[in-house]
Amino acid sequence: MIGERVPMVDAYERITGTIDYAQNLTLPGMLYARILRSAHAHARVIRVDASKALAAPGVVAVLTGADLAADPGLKPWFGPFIKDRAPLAIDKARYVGDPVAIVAAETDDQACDAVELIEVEYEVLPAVFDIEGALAPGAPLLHPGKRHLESFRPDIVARQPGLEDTNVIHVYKLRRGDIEAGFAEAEVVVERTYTTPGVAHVPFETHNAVADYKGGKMTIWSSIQAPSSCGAYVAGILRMNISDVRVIVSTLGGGYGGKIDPMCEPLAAILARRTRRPVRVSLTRAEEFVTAGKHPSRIRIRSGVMRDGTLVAHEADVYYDGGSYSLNTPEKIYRGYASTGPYRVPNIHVDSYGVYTNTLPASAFRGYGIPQVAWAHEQQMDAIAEALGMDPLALRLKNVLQPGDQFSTGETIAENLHYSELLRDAAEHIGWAWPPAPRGPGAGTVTGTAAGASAGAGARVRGKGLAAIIKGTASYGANAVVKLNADGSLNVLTSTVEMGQGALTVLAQIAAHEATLPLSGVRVSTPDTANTPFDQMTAASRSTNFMGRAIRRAVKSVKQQLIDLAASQLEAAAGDLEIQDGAVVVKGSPGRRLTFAQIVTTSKVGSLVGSGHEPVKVKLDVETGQGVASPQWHPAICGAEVEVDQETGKVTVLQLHMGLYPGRMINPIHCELQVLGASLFGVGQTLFEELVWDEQGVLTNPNLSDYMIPSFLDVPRAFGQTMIEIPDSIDVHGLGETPLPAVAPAIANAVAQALGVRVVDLPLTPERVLRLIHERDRGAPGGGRGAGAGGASTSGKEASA
Amino acid sequence: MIQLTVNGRVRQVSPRSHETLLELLRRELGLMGVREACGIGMCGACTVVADGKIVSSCLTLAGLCDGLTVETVEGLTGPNGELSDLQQAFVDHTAFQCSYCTPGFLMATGALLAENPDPSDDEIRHGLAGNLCRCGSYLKIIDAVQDAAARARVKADGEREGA
Repeated sequence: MIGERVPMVDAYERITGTIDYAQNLTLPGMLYARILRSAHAHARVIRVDASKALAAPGVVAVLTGADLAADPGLKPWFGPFIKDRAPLAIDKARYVGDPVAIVAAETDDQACDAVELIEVEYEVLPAVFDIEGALAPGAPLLHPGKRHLESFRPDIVARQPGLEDTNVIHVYKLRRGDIEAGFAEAEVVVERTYTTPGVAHVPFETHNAVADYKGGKMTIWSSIQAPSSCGAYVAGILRMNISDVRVIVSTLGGGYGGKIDPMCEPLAAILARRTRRPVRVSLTRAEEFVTAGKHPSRIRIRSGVMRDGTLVAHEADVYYDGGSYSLNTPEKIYRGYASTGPYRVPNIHVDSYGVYTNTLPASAFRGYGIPQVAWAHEQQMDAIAEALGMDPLALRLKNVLQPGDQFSTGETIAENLHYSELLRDAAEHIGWAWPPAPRGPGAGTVTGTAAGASAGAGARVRGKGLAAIIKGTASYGANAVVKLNADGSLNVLTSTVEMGQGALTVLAQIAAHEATLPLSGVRVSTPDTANTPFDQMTAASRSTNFMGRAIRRAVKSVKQQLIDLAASQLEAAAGDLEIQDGAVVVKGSPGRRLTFAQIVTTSKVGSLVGSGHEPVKVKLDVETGQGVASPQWHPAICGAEVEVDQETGKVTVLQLHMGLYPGRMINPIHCELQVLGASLFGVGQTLFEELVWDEQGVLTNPNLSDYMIPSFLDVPRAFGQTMIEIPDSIDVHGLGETPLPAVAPAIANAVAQALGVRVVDLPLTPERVLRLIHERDRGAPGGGRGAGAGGASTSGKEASA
Repeated sequence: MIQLTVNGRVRQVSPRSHETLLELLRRELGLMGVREACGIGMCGACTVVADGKIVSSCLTLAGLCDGLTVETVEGLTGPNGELSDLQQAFVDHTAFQCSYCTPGFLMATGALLAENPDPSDDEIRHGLAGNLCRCGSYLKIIDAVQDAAARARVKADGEREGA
């Protein structure tokens, strides 16, 4: 059944509306909690007066940051790398929306009403809202003083000394070759700066959790993508054993990375233990918008190239805006290693920073730091091609990683990632030609205009663009347990979260294949941390590969046990036995066989249990960034054709063609859906998705009227995908995030071809594109300069003698 | 107390003064296939059929619904839980991922096919533009809708021939 297009195992519940999301759960006696959030971007919390709220009808408890700090039963500070966050702001609030207090009441209405009655006295502090502001001399500090580091990733936090009393969360440095020699050798130098904005995940089910504390045990039903980690955080905060905190996840109404960090669970758990009642914490849509988001970025790249297109030097400053709390930023900034793109560059100098600002805490987001650098490096490649007068496809083919080449981190990419093949294929699908077909006003092909209007400002022009990206995966191993029952059916116990990606189905296909059982004979669990083994998170496109491998190891262990038992039951040597179709048979004697059920039943053990661990080893040197950054590398290519209306600035994506290397597609339907979904995520972020804050740090568009996501009308008319498979293998490359980073730069390169000018700041809104068209038509200096923050310079220089 | 006919059954329900039809259907009748995502009528996740027309139940004040006939996703299945042809087509094409938006799409598609039994690709895109899918399963939804439409036409032809 590997490679079969089987429907989702829970398709019936999904299509009848009966599937269990955490938000559907109501427990007897359950309280409803609502959060009071800071109205200030940066403010000391002087006093919280909850007396009126406590006296309000139905209110059972009110908690403030001071209550958390005063409770000896709590250790409220937590975080994956730096413990800089508490469930409620203890000393000060650091962004508009920071949780300050929480009310638990008999009904949701009562909780909502009581939140309004809490009075907070703030001392408003100066705030910083962007990377430049945060790094300016004398900038207000979000987290002054000593930092408390979490120790589970010492390789990540080793560079922390020296960053205290700055707004720099963390620094990653990559040093390779001799950067000065590289630029001395270079014949052409291209330097540009690119930016990306904050973006929201917009899962349709908002973050929510229910906690219940009974008999010294905490049970949490949650919408989280990382149940095992969540259980560990909650145990730490409440000074409990991990064994006494049980996190249960059924399925998620969307995650996209935004549901990795616990946002509701610690509060629900603290309230449940205080009130001895089950407590639900749910976010409204507006709260969801200020709870998690994508890191805004600012990336300057200076590239040194030879006239024949050979890349010889790459220098980059990469800034990720982590917002008010560090969350995963200390690790995410390592994605600066991919600011080179998937190309051979001998001399590299990258400084990658995470920065605190008084905005929402930036979290994991589909693509995990790669979309930001891809936006920069793939437009940079086209800018280099333009400076050289070279075909951008040829430039990529000349430099793209081939098997045996070394990546920026110094690690050898032994596997053929098929870049050249996929680039040529995407180019062919979009009808790539160089030089491009004859152009209309500005640049690009004039199309669809009435006769006589073609030279006017209303002319619509077309362009084509390409992009190639490289993406790694997370550095966490995976664990699985399998249990073969007396009837020969198999339970697979994992903490992988089903959030629509089809994990339950695909992992069942892998387990069934390894166990030689029909799909109907395998049941994959949903996470329940009291019963399923630890898994760091369902993220980074890692589950099908790493959890799939862990499951196969666990099944192999059970198969060995079956053979050992059958050897005595069949009175045969273990070496003479093999497993076929749910039975152990004597090789060459098909009549001498025992089914799994017969073996388990005869042995009287009741069930056979096997466990599997798939290890992952990554390690980068803290001074040079050299080492191994990812256990696996994934390629993606995007070819795009666009039409730009020069009168309105509106960009229409006519065609997208994606090129991927999934290894083996365990279930092609889910592969196609992941590629389609990630690509549309890319279209939204390219054309219109952007979180906009006012000068006080208030998010101005926290709703689906002012923040748009792709609809049917944004789906390109022509959408295709090429998947290169390894036949007869079950080696898998992750797809959930991989296509996304390639989309925005491919579209932008197409827009640049159409207009003759480059947009360096996302998103490509009509306003931004129109401004650029006007600048171009006025002949503004620096024609390649984008609207907004970006800048550009290109210099030709003589080769060193 | 108001009276609703929900999925063919007459129900007496007591809406709170400010409650939406969405909240009422979930709270009193346990119809968890009716889901809020945006809460402001932009996404279509809460779409139900009310007196034959699709509405955003998040924008419908429950107290004003006395006498209304409401159909939700829970009413699409047969008496023994059999999937409708439309549901089966969505399953066959896996026209969903997280499936949070799926009930809304099913209700909107039912209305679309009632008006236009043979919609083109373009007519599906425009007809369902009021329903958002954050997972981005749109192209599979087109396949499923066209498949469901074809099945319905075959069935209708069969009934005509049989008559």
